[in-house]
Amino acid sequence: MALRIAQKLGVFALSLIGASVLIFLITNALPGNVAHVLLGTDATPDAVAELEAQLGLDRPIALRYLEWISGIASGDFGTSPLSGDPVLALITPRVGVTAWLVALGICGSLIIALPLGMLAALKRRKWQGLAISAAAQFGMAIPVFWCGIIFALVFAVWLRVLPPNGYVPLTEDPAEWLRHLVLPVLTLALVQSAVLIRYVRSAFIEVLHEDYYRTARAIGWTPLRALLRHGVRNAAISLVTVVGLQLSSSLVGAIVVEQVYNLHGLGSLLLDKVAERDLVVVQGTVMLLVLAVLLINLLVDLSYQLIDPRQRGRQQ
Amino acid sequence: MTLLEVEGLSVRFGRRRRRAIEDVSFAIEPSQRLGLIGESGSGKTVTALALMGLLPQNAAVGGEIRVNAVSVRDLDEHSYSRLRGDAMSMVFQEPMTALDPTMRVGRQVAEALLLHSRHQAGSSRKSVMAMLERVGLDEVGRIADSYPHQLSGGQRQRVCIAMALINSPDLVICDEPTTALDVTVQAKVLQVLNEVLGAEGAACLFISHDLAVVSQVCDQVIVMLDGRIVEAGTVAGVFSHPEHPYTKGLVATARLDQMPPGERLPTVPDFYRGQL
Amino acid sequence: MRKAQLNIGLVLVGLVILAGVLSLLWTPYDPIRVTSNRLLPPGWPHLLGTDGMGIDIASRLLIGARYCLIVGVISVGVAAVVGVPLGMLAGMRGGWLDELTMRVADIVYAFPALLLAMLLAAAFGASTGTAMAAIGIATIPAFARIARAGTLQVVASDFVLAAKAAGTSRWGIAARHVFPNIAPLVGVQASVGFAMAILAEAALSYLGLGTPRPTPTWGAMLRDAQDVWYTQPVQALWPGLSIALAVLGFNLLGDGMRDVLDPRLREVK
Repeated sequence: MALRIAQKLGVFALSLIGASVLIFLITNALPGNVAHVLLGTDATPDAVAELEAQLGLDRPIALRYLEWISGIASGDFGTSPLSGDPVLALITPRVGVTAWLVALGICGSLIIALPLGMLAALKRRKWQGLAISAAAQFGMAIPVFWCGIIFALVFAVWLRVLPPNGYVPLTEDPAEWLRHLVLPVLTLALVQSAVLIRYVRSAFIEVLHEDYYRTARAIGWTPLRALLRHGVRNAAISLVTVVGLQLSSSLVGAIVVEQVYNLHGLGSLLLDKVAERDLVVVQGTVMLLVLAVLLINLLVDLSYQLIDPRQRGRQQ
Repeated sequence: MTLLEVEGLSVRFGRRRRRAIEDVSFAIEPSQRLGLIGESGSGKTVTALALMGLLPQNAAVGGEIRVNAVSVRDLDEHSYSRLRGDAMSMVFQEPMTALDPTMRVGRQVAEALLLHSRHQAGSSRKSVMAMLERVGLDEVGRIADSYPHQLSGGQRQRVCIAMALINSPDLVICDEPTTALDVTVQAKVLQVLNEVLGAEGAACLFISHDLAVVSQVCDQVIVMLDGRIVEAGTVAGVFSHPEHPYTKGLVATARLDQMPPGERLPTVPDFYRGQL
Repeated sequence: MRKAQLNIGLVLVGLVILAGVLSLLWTPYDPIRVTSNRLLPPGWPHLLGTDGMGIDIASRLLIGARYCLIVGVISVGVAAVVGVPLGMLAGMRGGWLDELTMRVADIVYAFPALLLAMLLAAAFGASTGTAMAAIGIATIPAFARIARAGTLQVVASDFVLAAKAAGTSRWGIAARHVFPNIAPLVGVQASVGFAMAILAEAALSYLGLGTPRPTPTWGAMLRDAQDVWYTQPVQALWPGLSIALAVLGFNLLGDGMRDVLDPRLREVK
């Protein structure tokens, strides 16, 4: 058990290092680095070299990587050479929207996908099951931003029941906060749930073929109760990894949805800074997002050990 | 009153209507032990699952099944479920996978009990412990708090037997309950099963491919071949004077140790090939 | 039922390819020339109406099909060309090489294509190339995993053991036994990967991280449509529908192929 956790922590650390190297290489080792961006394309080579020396960009890349990574370890994600703002100061006010969007979006997609996926498994030969599977197949093909545009059209432009864009912090006005988040969260949750339904369905179909499900039926549970009682936890074991993957796709979805509903979260920050080609801010923000994804994946991975008693090792 | 009556039972699978069993009829009186013998693929398990109403959704069932003179074929899912685990229960072949890996076995046995009675959760524990003792388990407290993967195959099958018998069913269907176990464990589990069935006065449909095992448990036997019943009678009668060539083959191959030296060992098909 | 999936998939994919090829030869109107016929509703002669710059929407949709195919083919192609040999190598060699390849694949897998595209766009400026590179790199792990899993199965089979015993070289086994056997799996992955590439490309061009204007891509068209949703909401319909049908087509094609190829999935029981 302890060994397994240590192993997972090791993989987490390696992934983090690997991802940070990848990020750093893309933003630094390739042409088009900070000095070029700052001075424009028609800068003289001398001017570029001078600025590079000034910013410390002429030193070996390994050294700069180490500086960057040790800065992050101490909570310093760098400073924008364009605006002079510390990256963390840019990120902090934006984290709230994105975090709420991702968290509520994942919860929403689970609320939609678990019962529907279970039903699709139970009734897989009946019209209900086929209808759910077909709907999921269609849902998977719908781009999240199209879904968002259509929701905004229907609920905000035509019915005028919800605001089409903007965000109000929870601490300011909880009711308005909710009203502004309903459409973005619904959009994200619906699109995410389409993929999830297929995973949930196949996880539960697997359970339906298991002997212990038959045993549960043989002692008198009805199909649905047997599945709830003995299927959920077993299906959860195979679904835990999927929810981990859903996390990174939810994050991507949130970035896109922010754009549809004009929410000023991390996604819109990133897009602005990409347009300005502010490499330091982009690399810092992406690193933070990857760190969050890996960290939550680690937690999900560890919770897997708690659900499955076989993972906890023998008691004697 | 006859406990179980099966008349003209047939089961077909899938869109192609592949035949699994055809025109199967037999009856079990209260406390009677009926053996069902046949090789794998002969339709034994399908018959058992048909009685329990646990066939997969793509199975088409025909014929009549009556439990205590009530046709279970007319029951809706809910009423049928109330019968399962209470009036009729089942012990499956594979103890390694028959229990929920994420739930302590004591709770699984208690669940079978609580589903069909008004026991309070507290008093159910006593009954569960008593039942686990009756199936010959030691240290029942520790066993009850174990997860299935912490128990041996024999222990798990005893737990399954406890689950099947805790509500004093009228009929217990045992589908090759000892086949997956070691020979030494087999004998003990069989003995336990014999004792508990006797103590409860429960009738039993005992499915096996092993003549010796059936003769230890049952008084009557039916023989299935290729989805049909080919022979029926008392255990002693069928085994001493088998009539159908297939049964003759079964009996002969069960006594290979009595073959004279120098002769080729017979196989079951030797006896009925070309005679069907 | 299964055949239906495959057939619908083939029809939809066929339509997208047809539209893309047609756009090379002919479009009803010039797809980038601004005219004064702004924001016409669907009708004649502009079947689907015109956009905010007076350009025929149907013409833009046809060009959009071409770009979605180009991005899909190149990114999925690159991912397969890199991922499949890597997966085969990992599966056949095993040991530390296998471990390393799969660990790296995991890291890339945890890295969403969108973030990769943002990094590349920040470093090089957004273009069709950065979009394709991001989608391609992010898709490599899927191919590597599929190829590795298939290879492990094939390598353990009797006919490979026999070939080894007969002295066939590693390369010979890879070319003659492993690749032909995993090719169907790779085909399925390519189709599903293509669907994901279309979705990703659309999202990137919607966000302005893909093919720059004035080239009409479906994602960029949706972004334009959003500017006029009070006056011309119907404009949001066509590009979205095109993306959805194209993605549906490739997904159905992939699923259909998988069902036909993999008899184990058929519930015989």
